[in-house]
Amino acid sequence: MTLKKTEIGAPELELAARVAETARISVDDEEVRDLAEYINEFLGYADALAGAPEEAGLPDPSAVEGYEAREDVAERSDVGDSVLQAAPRRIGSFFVVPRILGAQDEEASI
Amino acid sequence: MNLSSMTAAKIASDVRGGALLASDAAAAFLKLSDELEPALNALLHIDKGRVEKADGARRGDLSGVPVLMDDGLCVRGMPTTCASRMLEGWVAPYDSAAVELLEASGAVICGKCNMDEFSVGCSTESSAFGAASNPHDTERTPGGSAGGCAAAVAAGYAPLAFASDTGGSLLQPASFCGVYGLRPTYGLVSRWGATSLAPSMDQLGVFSRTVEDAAIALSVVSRPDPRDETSDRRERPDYVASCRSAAGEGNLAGKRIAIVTEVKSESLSSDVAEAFERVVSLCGKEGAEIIELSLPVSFTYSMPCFQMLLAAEAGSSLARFDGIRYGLSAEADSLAALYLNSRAAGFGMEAKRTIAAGTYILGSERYEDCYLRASSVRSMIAREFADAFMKCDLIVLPTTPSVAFRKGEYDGDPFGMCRSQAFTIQASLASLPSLTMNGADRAGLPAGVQFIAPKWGEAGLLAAASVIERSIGPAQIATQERGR
Repeated sequence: MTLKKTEIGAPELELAARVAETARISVDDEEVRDLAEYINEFLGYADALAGAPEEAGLPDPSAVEGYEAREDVAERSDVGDSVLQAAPRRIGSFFVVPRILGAQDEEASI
Repeated sequence: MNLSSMTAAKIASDVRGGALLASDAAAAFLKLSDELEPALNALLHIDKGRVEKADGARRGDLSGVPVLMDDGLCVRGMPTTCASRMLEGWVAPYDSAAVELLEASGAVICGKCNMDEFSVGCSTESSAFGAASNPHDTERTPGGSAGGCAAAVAAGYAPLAFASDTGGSLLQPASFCGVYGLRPTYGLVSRWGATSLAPSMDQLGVFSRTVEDAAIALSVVSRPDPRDETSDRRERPDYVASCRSAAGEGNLAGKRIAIVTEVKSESLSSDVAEAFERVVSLCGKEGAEIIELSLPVSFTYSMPCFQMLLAAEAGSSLARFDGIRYGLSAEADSLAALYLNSRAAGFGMEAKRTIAAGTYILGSERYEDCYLRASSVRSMIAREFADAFMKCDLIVLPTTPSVAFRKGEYDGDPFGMCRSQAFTIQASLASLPSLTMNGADRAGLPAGVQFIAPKWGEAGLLAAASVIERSIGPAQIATQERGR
């Protein structure tokens, strides 16, 4: 299957910038163009899928239908401390993030 | 005695019997990797402490066997970077389920292997720590995403390596490096402690140089695990017994093995076509009835279907890397800037592209014609395979359309590179087990041929592979081959 390439214009660049913002990735102009080209070509897969038989219908509800699953009961996990130790910034038993409300130069914890 | 060519079965047996010291097996790993790593870059971390402490005191099926893990799998106390700047320096605070089981069986976890960043890629070239090389030809890629594992086993560092396979991350590099690769049924091996890429398809599997080693490895790691909600509880058969019994005097009489009419020989490189014909012919000689089957949906729509689902799930999986809980955290004066800057600095371009595509198709604009449509087609593919296995016991396919490509061959063409996984994505989409072996009959680059079995059909799959292995032989150490 060969994907079709189309010219990249302002709408494609705008879309790529919006998608990057939604994905929470800061991008420069060169990367916006790269992402625009990639998304454009990637959407060729949608065109290809459009040709699949219509009887595909709705997807099956689960990848593990018919599996012998574990009992659905809660279990205590005691890894909090070790996970926190691997965090880039922490205070006591909290992860630290920049302050969300108020002064910009203070930090808050979550 | 050449330790690098010994199988896991032989090492464990010798260590248990006192004929070999676990420390000698581990030291051989260190020596060989020290010698070859400048050329291969297959490893991201060597745990000298663990290696030097290897004493074989723990008795089990893998006593004293050096084992390597893909860098996407957590090993307590070892860096786990997924070959990304995002996780550079992050040390896993716990063991993955596979590591727990391997160590309980006596294995020595020697280190972590190079991979494509967060498993996004097919060549190990997207690793933030440099591309790995194929030990059969260092100008070529070992494949990916788990190319480091495949290269390490092919070079003789260790007889076993473990990695997650999403759409060929294990099968394709095994094919490119000429080793055995087993991707089990989805749900057979716990993924606790494995970094997710596309959770509806990710499954842990093993690289080995013999079928028996793959069977031993599977019997060790395939235990039900309530920590992975997709881990199936059913009782596992004795994979090793199936394999040994078939390897002795077994044949394929009474078995129906299907070739797929949609896979045309003209779409294969000549060496792959030759390897495929050889293996099909061996199946016939061993008594199997070879039939033809048509799987039109699976071999027309798998690639768009897989790519849609991969992007959508990867975009969600990689959302957890936010600069707060682990890994790279950029300086920022607001929470939004912390996310934006950390993810910009941490992810490479391949990962960013996949995340962007996944984010877009999960939005309301394209959800129905992209994600939902792909999910529907996936169900159809799974049903097509289920129907096929009413008519046959196994399906035989080339693992890849061509042999290992050159590094840089697909620079700027990620969609072209994806085609190297054109025949490995079907098993993932249908949650089926698959085993690849090198079918090439002459010196040169390996050419993989795979058998796909019905769900939970690993015992039969390993047995059939053992029969064919009698003719094909164990995977050869690549650097030894070069020296001949």
